[in-house]
Amino acid sequence: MMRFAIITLLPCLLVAAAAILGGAWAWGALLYMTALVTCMDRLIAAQSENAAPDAEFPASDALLIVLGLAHFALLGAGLWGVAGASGLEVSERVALAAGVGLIFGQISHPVAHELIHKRARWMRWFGQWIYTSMLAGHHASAHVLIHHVHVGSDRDPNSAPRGENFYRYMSRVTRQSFRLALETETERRRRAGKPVYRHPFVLYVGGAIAELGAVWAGFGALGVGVFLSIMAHAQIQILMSDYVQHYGLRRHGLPDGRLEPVGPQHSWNAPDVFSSFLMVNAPRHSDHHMSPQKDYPALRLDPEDMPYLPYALPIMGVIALVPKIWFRLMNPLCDAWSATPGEIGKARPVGRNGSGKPGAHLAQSTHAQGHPS
Amino acid sequence: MHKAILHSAVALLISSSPAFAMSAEEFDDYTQGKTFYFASDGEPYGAEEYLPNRRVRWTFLDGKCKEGEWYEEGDMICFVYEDQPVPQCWSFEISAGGLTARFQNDPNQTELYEVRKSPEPLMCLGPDVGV
Repeated sequence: MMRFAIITLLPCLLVAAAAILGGAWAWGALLYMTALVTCMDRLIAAQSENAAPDAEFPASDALLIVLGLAHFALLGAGLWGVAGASGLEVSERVALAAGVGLIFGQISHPVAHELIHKRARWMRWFGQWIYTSMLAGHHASAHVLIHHVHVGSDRDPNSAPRGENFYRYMSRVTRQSFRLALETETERRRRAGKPVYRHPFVLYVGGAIAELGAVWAGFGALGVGVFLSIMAHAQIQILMSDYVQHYGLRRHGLPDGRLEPVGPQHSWNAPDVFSSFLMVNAPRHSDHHMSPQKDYPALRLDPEDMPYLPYALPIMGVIALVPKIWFRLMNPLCDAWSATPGEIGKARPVGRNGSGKPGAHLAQSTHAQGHPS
Repeated sequence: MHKAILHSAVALLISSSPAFAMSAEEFDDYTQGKTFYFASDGEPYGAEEYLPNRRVRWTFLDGKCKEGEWYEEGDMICFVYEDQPVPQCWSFEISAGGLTARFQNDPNQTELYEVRKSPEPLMCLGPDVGV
């Protein structure tokens, strides 16, 4: 738990340092979230281990709450640093905005995602607030009601079919996800006869408008521009995480017309240690889909039946920005994992799964295995 | 005579055709106002009381109950419970022995079958009542 706490809270402290001390500290979060994460993922040869099956993590919820509160503090501090009277140079303001955007996309998003899966209603509500503050409240509904039920099929907008590039995916999902989530939640309320003000989209849309008004009042038109840029950056990363974690992995149809059940072979995983701690184990994605309510420190990896991405999750996100390279890297892996239904559990020695153990590829420095031969 | 032939033809059709997933209306008609006790692999699994407006109350037979709602999704019936935001989708089939339910999002394909149905509501202890 300590490692989750240190690795996630450090970049938040760097933003605080930038707001209080100014100057070169403005570069801290940006460098941490890019260069440091990449280097640490490459340097740590240790395996990303699974927790004992009976282990309990009493502090895991507390860290989510602290990080959720930190998100709102960073929102204020970041906006003031970038658009307020912080005395930072223009280049420092740009660096700070980029650093805050990366924290929102890669820490706040996984934290909010954990929260919307919790048993306690107030924690789910807290998660909805975090997404709403990133102008992506609808994701809280779409993720649990649509993505989890229909993952790996055409009925989930957020599961990219093989061959769809990220830019097309982004414009398609932005349109479909909001509308589908709104329809689903509205239908739910209608069935249950619940009053309109309990509709979550009242929070998602109303909260976003209120927030925009507050930013306008506090930081003026420039502040609104900065705010929208940072949130666009965060939203691209929210979309990117689903794109990378489900690209090209489809559920087969069964003879009786049903789709095969969601299995470990329908999500991409990344065993890289540092970025896993940073994203509260979001890269252990197969197990999350198998057990959506498992606490993040308990999520498991198994190279036998869970597809591994060739590189760490943040690197894969960058690669996805260049569709030609993305397709060349990922399509052969998709094909290798698209075996006939019922073959779950068979080892497929492709890419990093071929190395046998999570993280072993790093010790052997055989990253080239990730490339299709 | 014609009727008899028709009856046996229908009976043959029903017995030889695979069971079809129940629609929302069929499911509602069959379940509403009753409590169903389910088993899996010969072991008692849980019970569910089906209320009006597609609301339900589920228990793992430990005295603790949770509230939920259900809706139709393709040929599945999906349940959302108060402590479980991700819908649990099952396909229900009806046969002479009663309801059978197959869990969608589980590679082990958990299958439940009805062992008893009752017009009585579920017995639920309050959340803070010790067992």
